[in-house]
Amino acid sequence: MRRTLPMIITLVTGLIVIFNDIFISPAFNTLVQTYLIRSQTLSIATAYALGGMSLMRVHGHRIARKRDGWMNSVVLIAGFALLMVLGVTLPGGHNSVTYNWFYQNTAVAGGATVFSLLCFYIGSAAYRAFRARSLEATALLLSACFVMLGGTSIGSAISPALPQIKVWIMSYFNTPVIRAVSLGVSLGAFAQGARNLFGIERGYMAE
Amino acid sequence: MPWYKRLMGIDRRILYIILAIGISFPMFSPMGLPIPADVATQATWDFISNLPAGSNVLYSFDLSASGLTELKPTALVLARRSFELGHNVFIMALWAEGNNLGAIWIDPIAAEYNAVYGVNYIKLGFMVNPQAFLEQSRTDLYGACSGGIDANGDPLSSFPMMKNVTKAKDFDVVMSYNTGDPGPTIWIQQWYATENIPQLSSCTAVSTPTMENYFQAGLLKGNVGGLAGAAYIEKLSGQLGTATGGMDSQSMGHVIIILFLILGNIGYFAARKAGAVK
Repeated sequence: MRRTLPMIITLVTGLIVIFNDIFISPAFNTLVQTYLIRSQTLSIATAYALGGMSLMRVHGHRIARKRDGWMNSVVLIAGFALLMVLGVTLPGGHNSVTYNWFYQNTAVAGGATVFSLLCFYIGSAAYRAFRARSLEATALLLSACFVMLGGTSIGSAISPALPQIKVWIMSYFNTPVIRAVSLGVSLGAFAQGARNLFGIERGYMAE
Repeated sequence: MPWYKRLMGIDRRILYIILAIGISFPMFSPMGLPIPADVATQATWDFISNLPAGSNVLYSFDLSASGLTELKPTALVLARRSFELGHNVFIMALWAEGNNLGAIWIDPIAAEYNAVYGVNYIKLGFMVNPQAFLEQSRTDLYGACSGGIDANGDPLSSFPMMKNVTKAKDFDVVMSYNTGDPGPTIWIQQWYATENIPQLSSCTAVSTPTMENYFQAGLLKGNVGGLAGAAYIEKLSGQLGTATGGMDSQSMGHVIIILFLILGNIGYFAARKAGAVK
């Protein structure tokens, strides 16, 4: 029963969602939206709450045991608690001016800073890794240089041909590869969905 | 140590310092380099510009703060364009962070154009379950928006601009400012594939290859890719801003990285000739 019941629930709900798009019936549509989609939303909201609690637990333990980097956990919990309290207590909640001020000067500034550091890491990694060791590596190196130059202002200033070369590389090499990868991923997702639906794949039951 | 080995192993701190100086320099002394034209960005601008007054334009902020530099300029330009042309502007987010960023960016522009909340623009809020929202909103937008409330918790039915907007089909276009998934892919799967709602995108440079693919296939009507796209849309709008200024810095950054690549490869070939590497 522990195995059969989840499999039946998966099969039935999966088929209902599929049939919803095949047989357009207002009554059926209402059933899907009222029960299935709403319960899915509730599940995700619950997962958010669980995630928050788990985060507090892990970092609370780290602080209590003074493990390496425990000060970072203090900052995390303080930030988490501050924004949560502001969001819940202030008039206007997460849309209030005070909340947005804190948000913009902590989460937004921090996120943007960390992302901009990528420039340095990518620069360093590219310098160390991009060597013309083989024909393939040389092709990758040259195309990277053309795309980097063609996509920026200085490329246009050096030669109008550079942006055109970039477009050519993107259109004739990049796009077909992306499409092939997307197609492969889609077929894989379809197969995985079918395996879940028919109970062949039971990973979601922690088996 | 032989010179070629030095070329191959320049200390990363030197690279970081040169990059930092190179990127910062144009911020104080702009170089005014030309902005490259981009077909997908032009298509985005044309699409929004050709929508008549009263069109329902949905701007979805499916992003995190990491995309601020590349996406904010486009968001400002297009919001101004929509208010200028008298579109009904709807703001929402499939990402929690995008909900606040969208409000922080768009509210001041709405005030610039004296747009009235609920009449000219509205914030639908953050959709905790993107797939469920996109599925349900195809036929029941109110129900999909947290049970019929806006971002402030007020009933959607109380706003004049919501009177004739009850389902996906009532929107004329969706613009997704995105830094990943959920983003244009699920918008295309749910709203374009089933309801034929035109889709636009503004993405970071790393997502541009994927979005270009959608654009070429006709699934997206336009795409503003990375800082280059944002700078070009600023140029098209005549409102030069942070993206245009940032292009000089980006150019310097790319040139420095390419110079270091050349140095590393000169060292590599010299080392190979000397038999120091295979």
